[in-house]
Amino acid sequence: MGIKQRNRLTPYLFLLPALALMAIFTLYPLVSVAYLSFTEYSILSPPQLVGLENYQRLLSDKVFWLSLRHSFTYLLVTPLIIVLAIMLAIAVNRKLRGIGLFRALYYIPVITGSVAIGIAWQFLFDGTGGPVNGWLLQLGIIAKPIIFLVEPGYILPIAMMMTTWMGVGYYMVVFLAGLQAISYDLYDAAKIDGCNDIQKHWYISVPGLRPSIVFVAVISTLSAIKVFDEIFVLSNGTGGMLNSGVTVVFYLWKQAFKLQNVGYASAVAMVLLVITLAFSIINVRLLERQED
Amino acid sequence: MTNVNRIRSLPLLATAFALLLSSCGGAPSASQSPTSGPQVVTQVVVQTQVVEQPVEVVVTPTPGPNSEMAIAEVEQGAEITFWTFYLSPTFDDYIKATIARFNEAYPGVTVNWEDRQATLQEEYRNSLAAGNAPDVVNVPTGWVQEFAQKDQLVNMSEALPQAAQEQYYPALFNQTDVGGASYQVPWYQAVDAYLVNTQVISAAGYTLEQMPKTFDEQKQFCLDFYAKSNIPCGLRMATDNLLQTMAYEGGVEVMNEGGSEFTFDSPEAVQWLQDYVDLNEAGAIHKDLVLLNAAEDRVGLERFTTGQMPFYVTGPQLIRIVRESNPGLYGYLAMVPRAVGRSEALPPVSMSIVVSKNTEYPQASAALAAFFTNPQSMLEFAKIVQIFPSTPASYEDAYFTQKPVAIEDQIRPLAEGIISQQQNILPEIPEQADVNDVVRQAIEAALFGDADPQTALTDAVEQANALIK
Amino acid sequence: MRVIAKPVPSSRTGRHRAVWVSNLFWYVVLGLASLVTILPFLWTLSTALKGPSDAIFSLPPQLLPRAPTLDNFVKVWGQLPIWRFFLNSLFVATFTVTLNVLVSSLAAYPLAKMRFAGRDLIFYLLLATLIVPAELTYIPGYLLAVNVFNYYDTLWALILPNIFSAFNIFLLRQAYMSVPNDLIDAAHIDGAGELRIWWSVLMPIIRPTVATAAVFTAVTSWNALLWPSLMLRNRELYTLPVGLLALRGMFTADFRLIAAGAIMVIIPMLVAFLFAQRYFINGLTGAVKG
Repeated sequence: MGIKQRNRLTPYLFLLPALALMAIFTLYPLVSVAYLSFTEYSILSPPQLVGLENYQRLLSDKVFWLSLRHSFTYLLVTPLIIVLAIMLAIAVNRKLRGIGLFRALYYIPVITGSVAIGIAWQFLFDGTGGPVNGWLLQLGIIAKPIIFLVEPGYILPIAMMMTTWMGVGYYMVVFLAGLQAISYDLYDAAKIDGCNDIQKHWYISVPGLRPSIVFVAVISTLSAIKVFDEIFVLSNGTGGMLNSGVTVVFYLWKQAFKLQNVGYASAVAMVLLVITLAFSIINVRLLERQED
Repeated sequence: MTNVNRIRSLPLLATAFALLLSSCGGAPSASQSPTSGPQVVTQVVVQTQVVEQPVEVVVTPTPGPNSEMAIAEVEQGAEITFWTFYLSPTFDDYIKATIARFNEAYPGVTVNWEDRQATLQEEYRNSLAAGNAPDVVNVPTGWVQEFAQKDQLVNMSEALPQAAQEQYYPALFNQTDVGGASYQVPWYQAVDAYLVNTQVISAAGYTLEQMPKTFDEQKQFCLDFYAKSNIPCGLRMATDNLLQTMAYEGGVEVMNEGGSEFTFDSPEAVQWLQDYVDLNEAGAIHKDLVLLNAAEDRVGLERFTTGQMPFYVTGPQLIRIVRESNPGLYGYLAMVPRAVGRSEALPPVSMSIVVSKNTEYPQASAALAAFFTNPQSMLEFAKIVQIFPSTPASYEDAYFTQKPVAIEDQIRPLAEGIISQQQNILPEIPEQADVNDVVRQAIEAALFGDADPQTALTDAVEQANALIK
Repeated sequence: MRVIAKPVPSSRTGRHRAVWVSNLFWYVVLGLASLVTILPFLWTLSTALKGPSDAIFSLPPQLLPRAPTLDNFVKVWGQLPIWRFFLNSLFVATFTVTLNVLVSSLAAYPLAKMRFAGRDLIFYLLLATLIVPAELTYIPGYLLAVNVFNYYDTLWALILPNIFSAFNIFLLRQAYMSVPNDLIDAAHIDGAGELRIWWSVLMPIIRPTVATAAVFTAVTSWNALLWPSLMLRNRELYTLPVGLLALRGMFTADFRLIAAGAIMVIIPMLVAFLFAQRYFINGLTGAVKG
């Protein structure tokens, strides 16, 4: 337990800078955004209270519902990234010459930053003659180039692929640490029992990784629901044709900073808060169950 | 359908390739002597002979600082920021020289010039919100209304003395009317025309004379051209101001008489949108270009440069970009007037200079705006790039009366006639930015979704009317 | 995988061969994954090296430039102050990390080792702030920056809101808790003040966790896009991601130049990663596990 202080003020002094910053940059904004969500505000003129008007507008705003749907669709990234990251972790969890190099290589997308990566992916999927179109044409899968980033229906899957590609190296390392904590004896025993390699991983690695899996699921769902960068960069800030890539955070940004409907954007922000709150509660439950 | 077209067009394609190949060796790069190699398109090549003749830029000495002084009293020691749009680095010398001349007329004013590109509109919006906007800004004229409606711009009808206002064509000075006043001064004007790739059109069996003259002809041309050559047109709507495109191309009355309600779901509007839907479904236009915004104009130009469309609607000032990235194509370029819409009018293609309302130095800022747009500054600008002055006096110079030499200049002798007649046929659109977003979504739904034009537009009109209630 | 599943041959050479085959299989798997990982980078690099005579898009896709040139890099370098963007990013990351780690490690100490009224309340308050998405704070944060603090369009606008991190506080609290109380008691008996105990006794012990928090904060700060793009107007102040966005706007259609810019922006982080790989990997993933 803690140690008794000679000076009663000491702990508060240690906490003061953090608490002051928290009050200014987290608590105040929280209160402020809640207030603004009941106003009409364009920054250029003072906010005017409009009651529940913004929320009523949200209910009938098709684009907002679309953005919610997209943000929830984005959660599909989580299972995908978990499966790929575990496979990759199993692949790099062995003593091979140069294995460190491979691990490092898979990690590079994690640190590169979304703008540079988004640009690279735009090149790959370019509609007139990007290599992806080129290869699909060569293989005879398509007869004419697909304008991936313009045709609605492609931008969201491409952004999700990009998120997966960017994140998989990160989660690989998490799972690698998890794998290395599993005793070798278990694998040896399985071998004696006549398990093949796939069975071995299914019966030992996956259950052994359970804590890591829950953790990765928590982290990646929370970031998936708040995705912005990928959509912003891939769609050149438009959100995609027919709003096909607009997510909740993108919509928040567009309303607040592109159309300057700050009050309305604040209402979107409040919805975002409710969603993350719900997710956090689910996550806490999951983590608690794991403790048992 | 497409397959049939493709098979039918095979021989044509082969011919096109043969032409392309045969011209490879012989195509005169702009600086070469034109006599070498076989010429495919004689008419245009003739003009390349003289293209490289350097344009003399004669800077007439300023006859004393006062002659260019539009505003008598400016704040002493003023320091103003000036943003331009897509002008650096090509025109660095011109801008710096003009600022230097400005300083002769107004000593003691410091001008900090910065150039902005694709993000100008958002940056300017945000800086206005932040209260640290640049004092003087060069924006496409289509953007002026939004900022003026939000009461962010200086009223130029009040800020400039009568004499300074009279240096412009009245229609250009008053082209964006917000509450009966002008919130901009007109800077350089462009004359949008068809920039034609004669190589591509002759390969498909077309001549310059067959280029469409009206919006309806243009539709038919693109459908036929695609059927013959498998090359789509590069049509695009001006996405910053879609109602403008609708009004000029489709002859649509976008608002009712009193300006209290939107009416852009009329039969004319539906027909206009249907035309694009037809073209899109036939594959006769580049899907990804049709909704390109003005700042991304060059994406389309790049596509044109690589021979992927018969013509591109653009101004002669952008020919230099084609020339830089594909010198071989230059000899095959031609400029002809663009198709006129059902409104029988052409939209102004215009750049403005505006002054932010929160400037600390309104006098010096207005002076700079007036200075950059005065006849002499405009004439000198026109001499280095194919733009057209908003000031009648500039056209008295021999430069505008002499015969043109380069392709870029084919439009020049006609320019004064066109420029002086360009004017806005649109009423003032309230909530312009939000309404434009609504219109854009309707058009996207019709072009890329399953909505039929009538439903999409009716829906949009309803939303737009709700915005202005 | 099927290869290894075969019954292991008993002879020595056979086993040797099995290992060899298995290794080859894994190299193929690892190689394919590497290809997927580096392809976007390679394509970008190749585009950046292509001159005007090389087609960017052709069929079949042409990966290698026929006539590689550095012109695109020179041109981009001449038109945008990339080095300036780099220095800005470095400035922001350095100050954010230093101040954040300092404030977090100060706050975490009493939460881990002291008894005082309201400790639980503060603890749960901090925990609750983890739920608040950063994106939600951008609107009021923007108004604060513009109306109250007046640091809009300065690099401090990127630093100050990112000094407080409940996440780092919890991470460091965990580390303090593993330090035996006897150590602190002994220092008390020696007459050391709390500040000295914190700085010279505890900080050295929890250094690995501090490094973890630092790397995590640094990478986040370095790659931040949305907030910096809202705060920075003056081109001289752009960070690398914002600068790269501006560059893309500047050269809209010229993919060669955009690619060259992207490569130049990637390089500093890549170099840092190559030199301090272990720190990066431990740091970023350690933060998750904490």
